[in-house]
Amino acid sequence: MDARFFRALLCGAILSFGCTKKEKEPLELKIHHPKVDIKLDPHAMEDAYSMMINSQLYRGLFRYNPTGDVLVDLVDTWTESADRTSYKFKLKPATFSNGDRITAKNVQLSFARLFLVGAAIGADIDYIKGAKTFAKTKNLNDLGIKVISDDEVEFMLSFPSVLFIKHMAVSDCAIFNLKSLSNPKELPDGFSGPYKLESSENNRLKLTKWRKDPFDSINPPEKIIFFGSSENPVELAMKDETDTLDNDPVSSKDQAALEAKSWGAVPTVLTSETYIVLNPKYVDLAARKYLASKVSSEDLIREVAHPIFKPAYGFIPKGFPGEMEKSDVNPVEKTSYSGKSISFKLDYDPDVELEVKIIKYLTRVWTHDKISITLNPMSKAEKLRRLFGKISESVVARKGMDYPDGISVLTYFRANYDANYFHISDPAVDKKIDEAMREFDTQKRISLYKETQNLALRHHTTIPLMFGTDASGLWSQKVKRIPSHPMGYHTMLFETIEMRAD
Amino acid sequence: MKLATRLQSQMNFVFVVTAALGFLVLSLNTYFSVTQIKDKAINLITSHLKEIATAGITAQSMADIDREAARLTEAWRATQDIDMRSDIYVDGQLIAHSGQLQKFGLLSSFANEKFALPSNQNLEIHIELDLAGVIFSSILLSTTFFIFLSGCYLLIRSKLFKTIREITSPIENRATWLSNSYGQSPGPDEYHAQFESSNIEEVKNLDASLLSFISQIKILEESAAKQSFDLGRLKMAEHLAHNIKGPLASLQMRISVLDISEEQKFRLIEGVNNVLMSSQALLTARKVRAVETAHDVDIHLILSRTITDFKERLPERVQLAFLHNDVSQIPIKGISTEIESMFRNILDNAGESISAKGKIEVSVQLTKNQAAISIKDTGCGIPKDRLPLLMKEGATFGKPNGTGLGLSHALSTIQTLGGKIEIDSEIGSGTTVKLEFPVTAKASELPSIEIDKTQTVVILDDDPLIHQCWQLKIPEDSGVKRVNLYSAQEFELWMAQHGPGDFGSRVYFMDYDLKTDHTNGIDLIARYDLALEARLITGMADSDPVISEARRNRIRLISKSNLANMQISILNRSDDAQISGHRGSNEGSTYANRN
Repeated sequence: MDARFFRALLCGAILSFGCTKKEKEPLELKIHHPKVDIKLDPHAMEDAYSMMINSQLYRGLFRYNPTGDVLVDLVDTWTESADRTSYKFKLKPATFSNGDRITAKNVQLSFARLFLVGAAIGADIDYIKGAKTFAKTKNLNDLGIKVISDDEVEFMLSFPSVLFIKHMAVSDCAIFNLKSLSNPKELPDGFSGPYKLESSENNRLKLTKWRKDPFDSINPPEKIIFFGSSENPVELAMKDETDTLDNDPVSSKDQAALEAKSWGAVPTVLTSETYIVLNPKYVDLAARKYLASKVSSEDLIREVAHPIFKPAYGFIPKGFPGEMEKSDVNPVEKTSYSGKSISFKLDYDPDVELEVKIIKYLTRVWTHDKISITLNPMSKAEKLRRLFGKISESVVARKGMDYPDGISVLTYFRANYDANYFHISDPAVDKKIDEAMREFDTQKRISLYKETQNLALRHHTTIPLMFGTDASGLWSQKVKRIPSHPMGYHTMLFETIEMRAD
Repeated sequence: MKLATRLQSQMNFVFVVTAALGFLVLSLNTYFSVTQIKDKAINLITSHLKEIATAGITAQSMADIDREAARLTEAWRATQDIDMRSDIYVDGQLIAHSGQLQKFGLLSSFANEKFALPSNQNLEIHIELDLAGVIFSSILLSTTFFIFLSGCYLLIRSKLFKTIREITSPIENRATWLSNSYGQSPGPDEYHAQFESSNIEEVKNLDASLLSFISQIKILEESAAKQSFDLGRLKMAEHLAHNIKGPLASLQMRISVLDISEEQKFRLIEGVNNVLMSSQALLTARKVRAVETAHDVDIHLILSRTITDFKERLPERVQLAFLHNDVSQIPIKGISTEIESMFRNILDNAGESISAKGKIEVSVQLTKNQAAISIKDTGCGIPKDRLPLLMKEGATFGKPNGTGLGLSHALSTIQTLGGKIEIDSEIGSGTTVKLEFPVTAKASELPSIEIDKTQTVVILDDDPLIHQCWQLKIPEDSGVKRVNLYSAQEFELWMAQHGPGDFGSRVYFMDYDLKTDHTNGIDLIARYDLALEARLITGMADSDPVISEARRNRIRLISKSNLANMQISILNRSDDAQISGHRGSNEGSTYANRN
């Protein structure tokens, strides 16, 4: 054997080595969240993080894509009646993660459960015929959702709503593997989403992908770990313990350091609004009026000095039908406070630079002999816990949109809405929201949206501060492509993320 | 520089230039392609997004921009080989993104476009193109090109140059060897031993050809050396023969007027002829024969003359008988000196073979076309086994001082005459040499020259002895006016002074070689139009160029060696008195227009 033979052998070995694809473990996508109480029940969730996780485990008849367009999910085709009070949905042939077929009965029972357990979305979709009656009788015959066949179901509405399909697409309207309503609090096995829960321990939820999905990216994340942590998110990122700071504010310096580690940013939570929630139990109306009159969104924006932030006068984000210009807002009477002395705590997250700036501004403009404000710094998780528990005396809060319509913000002001942590219970507001939901005329609906906001604003429990977010939108180098998610990552479907192959 | 080395050097240059140009072209192509693609990408994104953004950026239009950017990027990726990512900012806020999350890194190209929208918003579009694929493709292409080029180069170098070396190396080695061996006279065997490095048939054949060529050169070198020597001898002999002919002719002329018996005159003249023949014997070297010209001779006369001479040297104990058999003349075409030399050698052999009393018998037989001469002796004889060898050069028998040239010379001479020689011998009885050869027509007669007393004889020759000879031939008391000129200048001057004269009033005897470069006797005869009145008297009458030139000018030619024998008649219209020369010979007179 001569040297040429050995050279050929070596080349062959190199080529075969190069051509042999090494089996690699799929990359885990690690997502941190504040240590809030994650509720793995779409009908019971209150925070955005629970919503984010449930959106991966469960799917409904429709879904939103990252830019807010409604797409079919479990529905194959549908028809609507001429008066738009009847919709018949034909289901795709699909199964739950445990292999059970998804049937029309599952759809009926899932929506029935929604009303039984008092899910937040229930207030939005109580235009479904018999929804209120069913909540009392618990008789499916009273509910306007009828099973036509195994794969066909009919929804009947009390009145036509332009938002019906949009409501069907929110993550609350998930479909469960329910066989009956004997124990509505318990959720049965089987997930209708592309991910299933593999394990849940020590505040770590491990999700694995169990099916192919039409909306899958080229290389969707096969394993996602959601974990709660009170540690500074940026430090977690620096230690490679989390793969996203999407919803977290990150300083320019830290962002540069992370970009050096091949982290990249995408647009996120563009619709977010920052506001002050004043709890009427601790701050009476006179004081709230006075405090509201002292806040100037424009002044605050100048103080924050960042082009991302825009002045906020109402609750519907800029760019959406129904957004409030300054002129649309009923002027607040210039008033001085002469009531009793009050004292309340102001909750905020000291790790968030924006909140610190806001606190600094507020303590300056709210200076008054009879008003004593105690700054109450705390973790984000604790702040959210107190906010959702409606026990905050006052809090700097932020909220995005659940779906791309102004009504998704306004329904939070409904009196019987569990997630209404704005301390508003006003029949006039409820009435306006109902009217808006029934209104098909765009201009009239916009007027109703604005009237609703003015009605809510007159309570001064919520003072709009600014639109825009300081969320970084950063993701780690594990992620190759990720869709823009202007409503925030809690609305995003994670199978659309493309992971790096290596 | 050797051919293969030079070719390889040039090949290296071509390889380097080709590789460098290839890399340059690929690099430029990559650069311009990338620039073009970048412009295309910017146009694609900005033209679409500007339209959406012009109405003002709202939450809804942000979604539209994001959706459009994503759609364009996906379309770009589907149609282009270069990946793209974009970030769109409004007033510094990232509102849309497309493509992969992370920046592409070092191998990328950036482009930023800023627009002020009518809504007082600032739209900023950042586009990044991933050039890794293009650059990798370019590198891959370059590498492939380089590997291909290197492969071709190495293949050519290993195969072609091997062949070229196989072809050129032996030739270069031979050239080197020949160069080194110049003047050292290497032998073919030495040459052959050095070169066996090629397996190519053509080169082998070339090798064999060159070997043969060099061998031939060696032979020719030896031959040329000998020929050069012989030519030197020939030149010397020619010079001697030329120079001696004049004096001998003069001597013959003087003998002819001596007051002695005719027999004695004949003997003296024959002696002079022998001297002439001796001078001609210098021309008997083998190469001389090739340049000597055959002409009509009487072989019977030559034999008679040789026998007469031989008799004088023959001891008394040996008797010689010459049987003519009524033959008086045997005309053939040959060289008289060679023939005489042949007869002398055979007779000498016969005489030397007889140690005691003996007899030599020479007989001549002549038929219509054939002549036979037999020379028989009663000598010691030659052994049968030696007879075949006798005709070879260097072979001799029974003669203590023999050179072995006699019989071989006789053989070559008789073969030149178209005849054959046979030797019959017996030990103790003697040897008989038989010569047979074809005869030709009768040899031409020596034309007589008639001169009228009224004519003037103009003699042009640089040799004073020739003039003396003419004085004997045409004495002053003959009544013929004689003009003696010694050079071409004198002749030209005389002709200028006296003019051409009336036709027939003069007879010119002109020498050919006038010892001057610018003219000769033929030139002068031609120039003055004297062909009908002149005769060329020259010692170069046997020279083909002279014969050809004389024939072309229709000039009659007479050899100087025959001048003594030439018959001149001086006529007088009133008195037919005739002055005759000596008995002439049939040999020696030629015409320029002879056959």
